[in-house]
Amino acid sequence: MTYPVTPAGPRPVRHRSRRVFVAVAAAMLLTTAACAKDTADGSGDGDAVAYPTRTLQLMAPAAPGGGWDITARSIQKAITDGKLVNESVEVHNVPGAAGTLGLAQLVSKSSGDPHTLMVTGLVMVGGVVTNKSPVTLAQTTPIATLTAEQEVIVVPANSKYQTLTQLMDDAKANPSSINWGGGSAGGTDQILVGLLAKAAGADPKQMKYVAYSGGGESKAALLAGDLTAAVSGQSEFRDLVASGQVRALAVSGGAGIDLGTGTPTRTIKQEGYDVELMNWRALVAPPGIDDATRQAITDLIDRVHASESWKSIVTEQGWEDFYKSGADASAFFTSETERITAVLTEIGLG
Amino acid sequence: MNVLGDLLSGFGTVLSPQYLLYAAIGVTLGTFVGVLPGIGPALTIALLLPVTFSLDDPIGAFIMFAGIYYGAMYGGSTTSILLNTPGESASVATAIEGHQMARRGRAKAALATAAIGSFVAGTISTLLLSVFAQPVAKLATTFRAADYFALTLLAMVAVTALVGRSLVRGLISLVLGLFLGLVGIDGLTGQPRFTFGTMELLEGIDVVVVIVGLFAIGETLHVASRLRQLPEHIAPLSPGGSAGFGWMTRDDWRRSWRPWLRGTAFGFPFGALPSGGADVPTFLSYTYERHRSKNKEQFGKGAIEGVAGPEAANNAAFSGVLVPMLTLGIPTSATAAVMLAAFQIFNLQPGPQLFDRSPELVWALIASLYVGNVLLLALNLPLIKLWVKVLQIPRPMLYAGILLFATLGVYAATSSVNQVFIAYAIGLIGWGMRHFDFPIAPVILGLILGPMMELQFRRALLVGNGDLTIFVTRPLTLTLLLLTGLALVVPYLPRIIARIRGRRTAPDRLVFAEDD
Amino acid sequence: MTVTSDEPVGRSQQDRPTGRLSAHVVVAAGLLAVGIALFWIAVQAAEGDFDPQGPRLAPVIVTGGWVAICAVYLVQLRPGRAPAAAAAEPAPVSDTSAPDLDEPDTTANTSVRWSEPLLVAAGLVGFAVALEYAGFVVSAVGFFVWTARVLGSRNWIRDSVVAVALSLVIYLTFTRLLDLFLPGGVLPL
Repeated sequence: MTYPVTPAGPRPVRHRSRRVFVAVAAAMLLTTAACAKDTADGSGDGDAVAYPTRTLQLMAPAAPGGGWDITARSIQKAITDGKLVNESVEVHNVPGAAGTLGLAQLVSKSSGDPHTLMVTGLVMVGGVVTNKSPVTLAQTTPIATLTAEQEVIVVPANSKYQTLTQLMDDAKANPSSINWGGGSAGGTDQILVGLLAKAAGADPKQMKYVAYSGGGESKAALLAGDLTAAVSGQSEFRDLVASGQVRALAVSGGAGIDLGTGTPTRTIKQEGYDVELMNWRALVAPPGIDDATRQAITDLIDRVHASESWKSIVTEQGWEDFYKSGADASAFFTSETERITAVLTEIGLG
Repeated sequence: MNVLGDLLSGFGTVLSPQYLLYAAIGVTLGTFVGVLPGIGPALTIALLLPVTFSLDDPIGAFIMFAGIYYGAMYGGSTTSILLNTPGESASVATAIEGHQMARRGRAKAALATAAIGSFVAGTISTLLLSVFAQPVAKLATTFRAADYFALTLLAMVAVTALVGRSLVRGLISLVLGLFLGLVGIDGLTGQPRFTFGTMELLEGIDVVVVIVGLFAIGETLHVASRLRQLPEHIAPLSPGGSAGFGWMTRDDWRRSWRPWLRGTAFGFPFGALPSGGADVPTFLSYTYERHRSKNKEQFGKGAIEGVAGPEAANNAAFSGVLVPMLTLGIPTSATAAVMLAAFQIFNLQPGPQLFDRSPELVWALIASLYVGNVLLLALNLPLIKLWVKVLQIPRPMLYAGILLFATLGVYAATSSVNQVFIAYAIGLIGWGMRHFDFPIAPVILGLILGPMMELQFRRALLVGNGDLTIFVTRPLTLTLLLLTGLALVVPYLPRIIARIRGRRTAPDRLVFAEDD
Repeated sequence: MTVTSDEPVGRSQQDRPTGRLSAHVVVAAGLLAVGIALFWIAVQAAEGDFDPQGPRLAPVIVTGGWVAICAVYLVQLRPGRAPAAAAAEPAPVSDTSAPDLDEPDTTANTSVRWSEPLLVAAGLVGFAVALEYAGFVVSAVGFFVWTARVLGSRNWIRDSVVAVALSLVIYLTFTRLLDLFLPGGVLPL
């Protein structure tokens, strides 16, 4: 696979740690291969690998309560509710740096261990680029993408902008007149602003993007008048849109959705810009997993996805089903990584 | 009145045996985890949040959460007072005087004024939340980046005018805190700063890790370095209470009630600001009490006002935090962010429509705050007798336990041994600071206020296209900046006047964190 | 109070053991050196970009302030400083004198031991390193007993019993009741 390499030249320290990591990974691979063979021999169930054979660890590379954490706990719930496996499932959180800390831990410590799975998503792809992480998503073993959420672009109710086109025309003509606001630098929200600017023929680097921690702060700034437009996950602004305090100009997915105003908000594509961006979430396994085991994990997640418990959680959370597994998932990771890396580099964050 | 009716129906929901049980479990769990030294409220809540996920019923989960929150807060104050190991920034101010009281055998009074103060402040501020949530939220969202910058500057000047008996060493501590606040990814541009090429520092140095390091670990190393000079037990126990309400003397009550009310007045509005939080008002309350007190000479040696005020401010801030959180869906503190997440788990989006769409839930939540407050008092006043016994544990085991729990807390919350090592390294610094008599509290101040100040300053400039006049064109900003100027001059006025009169006064012995 | 009555106080302050004063000088010099290094890093990282909107100005200001304050501190510590000036801006050595006489553990110039804190620190490092390999319970028991011993406990049987009970209770509560992750390590728990 040809994933873009992180642009920054690795420093000597990283070389060393990488070498250590390779050695450790190799050692672990051998052990796991041996173990996998044992279990395969023992199971006697044709080609299928017995999985899981001990407690399943789900890593949420974020603090409790975030989207990744909820995803991990939902998987746990679906597995337990449906009694999909005999072993128990634990969730543990490794918060930090857009998930790249968890990613580093997965790749270095859990290499070759099929019983540790990690939730990931678009934010981590961006985080790897902006944080110049020495470890990338390409080093993991993709299992499946699970869910996705649309983004929404909103302006205050008293804003002069009625349509996305008006906003983008001004952004193009006079970039400094528009204060864009959203989540952390290099996150989904800024990526969308960059993609939108590019599609509108403006310079992504010229967009004035003010980053806030979490969705709440940018809401306050939009209401107080610091921001011209805010970008966020659609669920975040649903309530303010429905109550009429802000106006939704467009959503970022393939089909418009109703944010509580009674009519579906138009998509960015319908507004004439060729941009589609979903904040997707996925599940990956550590590196060094052989194909048979990978298939066994994928089978388990297939069953999770088909379970009633999972379906009801997805509906409750307002997520969209975004299931791709196997080769589809790998191809999707590759194309998203290329697209995101390109736009972040143009913004000047790469 | 409509609010009253809604609130009563909220109580109707909460006062069922099942929910009361949830509240009691929450308070107990929160207290017992929060009281572990080195594990403060922030860690406690992060650790216990998944427990509330396991309940399928949102009202039950929130009731338990409110209980956990109050329990964790109070448990954290208990260890701050008894062992000088605050677990989050909002308890640092409590530890300053509280621990001095404990060392002088007044632990019971300190714990009692903290518990009763928390109750008073919690009740008043919950009342304010019930009645004024919507208008306060409207007011709070008029604050823009420039105003926040002016406000943080004001807070910084107000509390650091009293940074220590040696201004220079206080400032060195402050600069250290400011520096620690710079480490990590810059919030606005995503550029790493002072990460020295490591991944682990990208996320910055968590204030909880700093506090655990500076206090729990630093204190233990400090104690280890002077074992031979210390008495066998940490603090003498106070003579048993005389009457029913024997935790506090009449004098303690007289000196506590005003700080409770003033602390509430600091805590609630600050908490309600969309970039507020609970730590700044506790420091402001401490500074104010110290400044205003008739017992100035007692400050630094266990003045009860210095416990009553910050504790009340801390608790009042929580109800304040709920204002933007419930009305606009804006979490302004780590705890509120966790609560917001809990809302989302039950697929509820806090915001303007929450009060209309799920009134039974909102009012049950508010009612559960009252209930949590009462249960907290009911549980903790009797437990004071038990907690002070902690001081009788032989020192070697007690401090080994503190280190064990501190490590456990950091590891359990971050799943990272590297974070544990960062806490240890900061612990070594904390020991050095104690040894060479540098005050600790300014580090925390710098760490909290510095990043806020920088971020809001740059946001204001960014929004204003680099025009510095943005700081003087809004009346609110200008007023705050003028107040800052005033706060800068006022503490020095007596000295300046005295000097003009040609007399030499004794150096101003206003001390921050006398020997922490 | 007059200037003259202040002087003896100032003298007595200067009569304090010079060992502690020189230690302060070493600390101040060390802080200054670290400050200069960090300032240099900050200036290098800025690459000439000192835009107040950008991320590079604040580190320069903070580390610059660090250097300036440490320099002032070092100047204040110089020997033979006028006592009056020392009183107006008390130098560190004078500080522990007046207000803290009733504090048992701030009489700083009595013997301070280095071996115990270093042994405790060594224990901490061992604990953190062993945590993920030996597991929580084993490493915590070892750490607890070690630390209690360093801190003066001579009753190691009692310490061991407490350590085992405490770690087991913590481990089981965290992993079974609270569903939190702690490394199990070598024990089949």
